[in-house]
Amino acid sequence: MDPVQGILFGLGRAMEPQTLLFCFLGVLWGTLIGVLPGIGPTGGLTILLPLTSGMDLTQAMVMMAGIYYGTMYGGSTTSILAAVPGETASVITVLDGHQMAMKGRAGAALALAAIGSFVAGTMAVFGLAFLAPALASLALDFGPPEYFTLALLGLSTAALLSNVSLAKGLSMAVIGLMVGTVGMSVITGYQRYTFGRIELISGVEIIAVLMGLFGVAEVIETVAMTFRPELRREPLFDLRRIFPNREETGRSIGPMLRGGVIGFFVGALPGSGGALSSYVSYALEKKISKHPEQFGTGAPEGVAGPEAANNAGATGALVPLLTLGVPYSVVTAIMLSAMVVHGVFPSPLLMQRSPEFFWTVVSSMYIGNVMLLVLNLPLVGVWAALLRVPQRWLVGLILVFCVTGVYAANFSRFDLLVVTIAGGIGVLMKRAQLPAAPLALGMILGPILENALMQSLILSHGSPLIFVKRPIAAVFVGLLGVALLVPLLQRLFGRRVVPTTEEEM
Amino acid sequence: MSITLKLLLTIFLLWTVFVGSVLAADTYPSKNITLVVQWAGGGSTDLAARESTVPLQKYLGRAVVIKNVAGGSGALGTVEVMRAKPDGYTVLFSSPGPIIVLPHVAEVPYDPFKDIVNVAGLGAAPIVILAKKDAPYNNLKEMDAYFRQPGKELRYGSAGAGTVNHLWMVMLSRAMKLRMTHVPFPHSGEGVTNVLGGHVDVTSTEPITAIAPVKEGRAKLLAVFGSDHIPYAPNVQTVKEQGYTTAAQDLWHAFYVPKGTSQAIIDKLTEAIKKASEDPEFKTIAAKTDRSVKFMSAKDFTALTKAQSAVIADIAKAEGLGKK
Repeated sequence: MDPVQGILFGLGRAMEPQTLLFCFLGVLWGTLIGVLPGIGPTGGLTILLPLTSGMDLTQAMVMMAGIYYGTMYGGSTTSILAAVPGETASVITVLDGHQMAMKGRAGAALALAAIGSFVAGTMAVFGLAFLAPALASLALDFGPPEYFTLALLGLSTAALLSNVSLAKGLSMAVIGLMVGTVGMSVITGYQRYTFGRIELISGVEIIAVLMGLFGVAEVIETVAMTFRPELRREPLFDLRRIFPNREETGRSIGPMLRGGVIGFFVGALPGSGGALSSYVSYALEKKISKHPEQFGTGAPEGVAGPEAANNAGATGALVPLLTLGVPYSVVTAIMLSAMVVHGVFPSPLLMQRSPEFFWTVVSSMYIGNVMLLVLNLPLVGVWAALLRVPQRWLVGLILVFCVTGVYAANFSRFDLLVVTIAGGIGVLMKRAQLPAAPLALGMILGPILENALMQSLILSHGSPLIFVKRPIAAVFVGLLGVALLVPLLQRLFGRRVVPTTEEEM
Repeated sequence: MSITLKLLLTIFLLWTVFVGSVLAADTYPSKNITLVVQWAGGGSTDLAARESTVPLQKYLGRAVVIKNVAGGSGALGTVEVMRAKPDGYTVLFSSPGPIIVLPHVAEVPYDPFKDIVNVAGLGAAPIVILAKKDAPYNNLKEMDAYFRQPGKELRYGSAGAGTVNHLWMVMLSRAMKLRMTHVPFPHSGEGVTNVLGGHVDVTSTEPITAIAPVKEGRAKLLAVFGSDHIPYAPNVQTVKEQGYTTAAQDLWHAFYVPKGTSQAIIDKLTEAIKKASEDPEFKTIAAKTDRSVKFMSAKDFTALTKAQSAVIADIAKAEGLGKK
């Protein structure tokens, strides 16, 4: 059947009461674990593992997928309200989302995040239905040189993540890259910076660092401010204007649509995941914006774009799973084993071989996105009302969730140490006006960059020409050149120089 | 509290401890058993452990609860069990790495043959060698001949330096006396997509990661490292059958308890694991994900792992892996 027939057929199946129920349970659970800082889709899914093993395959997939993209809806909530990202993919939402809350636009930011997620989620579902097989073969063209140049391009966005200064942004990104190298090297088997601690062999847990830098540091700062009330800035609560106004909506439509496209394609690349897509979207929006100076001070584009992108990214990540049958994350590995146990083998031909399964899952994702919108829009009022609770009470709860979320991931006492140290460093960084977002980007990209660089050079016997000889990689190198040279030329010829503000993220 | 009461209480406590220790083996298990997995939930070891809990509960009569203690390439989970009370209620479900590889490439605070006691081994899915469907070779002999031609270079993917996927390939390279270029990837999955995309020639991988491309006719298996054939590709010969005896290596999962656990408890566990491995339901489930569930007694298993450990120690040194 063609995609249109398929979706109609799938909608029929997805509307069956039981499937609908599992879809709802999935997105509800996803939203919940997304809201709770520290615990991400992997942890949320692992908790439910015993439950899914006995379930019907289609329903299990519907539910697992629901959890996966559901977390992307919830992830922005604490980013906006308390500057604590719900999971890795919502780090970037802190920058403008929390600033909007400071200005009394928390409701608007939450609503834009939900609507952006819905728009992009819907786009990604259609992308999955129409483009999945074509994308699968494109993804196979991505070898180490392509990943390296793409990651390098991603890293160049670090410069756009800091409003304070380029140097600060870049140095934080470099520190992030360095933290990313801790542990046993995939390439050589050497241990780097482990200091004989077995806990460090597998590297520093990124979620523990993020929860420390953003969560614990924010909590400490809030508590510290109670001693200096004159310095305290709390988010404003304004119940009369909960939803986005016309200007905010107008400015967000473009970023949502672009975020949906970026998120889907970046997410569909095996191994990159949703987190990178939110960074790329933010960087793009800032780059093409007519008023880039507003980014970091509460620009609605900076919320709508990345939140749209990470949701589309979660759906896009199902492309390599469903078409190549190769899992890249724990979440998709769980889904793959469920499929294999039931005798369903992912391939570009999956929609012909198991049309019922494929279209029911894809269509359920559309329904799931509608459910999430319906679920999340009324919640905007509830979450925004949380701001009436004094921050100093809220932060206690946030601290508890950050720490338990991190602990629940690996039951590692060492991770608790990491959260604590990262929290201390986070406070110092705040005081020194050093932005944390580029550091997070460096940590995410570090391993991809390093491994892909080494793999490429192994393949080319040490020749860097491999990065320009291959067409896709060459395009990325070209884009990188443009991204780096254009601001330089602008500066040289005294054209538009982007003003920097002293606003800290 | 009067002295008499204190005395009575002390006697009572001593009595319970005494009787408790005598009866422990008879009543074992009298509470739920924790099965420690060295990796995060959802990984291949975790899934294998979860599958095994079902028959184990049946034969032990108590719930077997998974606890994921991830980190340190499996060292943390191993240490957790090593330091647990040796009462049979904390059992390790180990993957091969932390036992036969990690001690040779990293500083770990345990000796896998002294600080923990093996209860039994379970056969696990072996490592397979995957190539693209249109590759001009169908088995190891043909692969060898192809890459011996001048100007040809065999590039193989693995799940990273020092993983069994890598080490088994080094063994094959030695047995074949063929120079191979190693391209390490962080996961087996990336090795598979890089084979499909033509970026590397072959990759070593767990069968589950190769199953979809093989079933769909986009890739083929050249060999199996273990001693059994793969259920979904029964015609693919083992490395041994293809004449590379020294590179034939079985993979396994194994149960360990802390040093000092009483033999009576170990025997009970062994018996339950043996029964579980013969459980038809368990066999069916495991076969679906291509896990063989062959039972190995502690004696056989220790002999196997000691031999594997010795070979790997040699390779790690020769390849310059890990600690210097």
